[in-house]
Amino acid sequence: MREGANSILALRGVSKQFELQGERIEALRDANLRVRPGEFVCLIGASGCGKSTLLRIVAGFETATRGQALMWDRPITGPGPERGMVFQDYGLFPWLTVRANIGFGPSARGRPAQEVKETVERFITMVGLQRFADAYPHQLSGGMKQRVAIARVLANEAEIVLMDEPFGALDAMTRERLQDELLEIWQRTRLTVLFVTHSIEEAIFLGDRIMVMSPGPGRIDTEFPVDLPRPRDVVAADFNDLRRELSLKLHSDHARKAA
Amino acid sequence: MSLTLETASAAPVTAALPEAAPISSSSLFSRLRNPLLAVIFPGAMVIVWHLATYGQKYSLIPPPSDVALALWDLAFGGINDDAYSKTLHIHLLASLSRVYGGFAIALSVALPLGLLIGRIALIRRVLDPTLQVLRPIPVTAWLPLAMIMFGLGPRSAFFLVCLGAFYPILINTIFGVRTVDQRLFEAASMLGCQGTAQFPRGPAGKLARDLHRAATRPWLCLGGDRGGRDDRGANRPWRNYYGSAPAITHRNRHLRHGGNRRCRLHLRPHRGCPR
Repeated sequence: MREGANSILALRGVSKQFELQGERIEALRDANLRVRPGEFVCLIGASGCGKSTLLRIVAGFETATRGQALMWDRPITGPGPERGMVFQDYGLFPWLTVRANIGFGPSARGRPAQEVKETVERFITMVGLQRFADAYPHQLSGGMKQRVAIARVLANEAEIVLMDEPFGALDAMTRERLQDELLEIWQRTRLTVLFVTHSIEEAIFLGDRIMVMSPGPGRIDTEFPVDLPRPRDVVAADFNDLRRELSLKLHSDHARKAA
Repeated sequence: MSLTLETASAAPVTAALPEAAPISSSSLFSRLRNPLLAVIFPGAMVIVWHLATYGQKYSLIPPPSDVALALWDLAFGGINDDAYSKTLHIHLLASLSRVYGGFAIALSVALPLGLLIGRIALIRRVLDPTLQVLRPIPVTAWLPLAMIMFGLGPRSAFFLVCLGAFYPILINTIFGVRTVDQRLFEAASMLGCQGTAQFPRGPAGKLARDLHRAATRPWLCLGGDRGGRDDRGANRPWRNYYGSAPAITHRNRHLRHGGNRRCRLHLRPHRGCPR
């Protein structure tokens, strides 16, 4: 862990408590994380381990009850375009076309119309939705909707892309295709990505580093660096060694919680 | 990435298609079919009306033929030549201005209020209980208060029309805002559209659809009690949509007394008619 302004994202002792029907639930306890620019970090864990809560604290939708969340060493106070979020349920504006959805951020922030138009065209091409640029979200498939969500975040000049199980609602083939496209976009734009998933294979396939989280109360347990060369082969031996290791870790966590 | 499917080449299927039916006449009939169906019921009601009232001397309700004549006279004149001939456009204009003026006022108050109540919990807790308590009060019950506050002229009519439209707009706006998926508000903030800027761009766009539902309410208020006075200050206990109530009531008085239908004696409103 390196100190200093080299980290785009730093969480120090972040804890989050919720009040639920009179009971206090500790969703996160003492989470520490440091992300360097351009890294692809995956958060993996069973449900209830606080990974979505952590992501929402980074996004600014929730505030930590204790500890600090810092971006470029400045505290995160609320949502903003520099931390773009891709939701599992897409979150597209149903009354706007693909083009308008992608252009929403830049035009809401007051960019001149011509610049917005060029930006929108660029990102529509990047995600390959030229033929559906004027369609409405309800006319698109899940994979296309997620592409729009990604383009929307990128068009807004996000520095960190936060993804909360973005491919969870998609079928396996679309998921694989979108994983490839996401990696392609990531390698081209060199953005930082914080990716939450419950799929071990997805985490190893995508991430530079995998943070395993465990529930009861939620915390970051272990870190697994992934040194495999890209593009990664899901049936290769080293991939599966790592997969076995992670699986054992997660199951032991699960057994410990159940016990 | 290509999203089209490649299908294996197949022989084009043309053999078994039936002959296309001739388009023109059937299409005209099918286009007229719905309007024709819609006319059957009101047409039947007019026939029943006619059979029930035509030729009855002491009927309080005139037959449709009389109403038609009165309407023609109101619109174009030439039958009665009384003070109401050829005045339909005046009354129409007055009614329309009440409807749309009242709706516009209601819209300008209820829409922003609904957005605020829907979105900001504090405002909702302060205003909503009172508004909910006042809501079931019928519009006509506001009449005395309206007369005190706005006098006896068209202003109280505006107020009543406005009140009729106010609650549907308010409720639909609040409902529209509250049912917008929280995720969309989060997405909007994440994209850089925060706080008050969300109002014109985000969820408010959906509300336009709900608004037209409230637009029909003002018309329902027009038909009822209109404040006891019309534009001329004469006493009008009620007005119907056709605006011929004075003529009808006037004529019926004469019928009751056995007088001529085309009475030219009383060119003025029937108040003060010696009979």
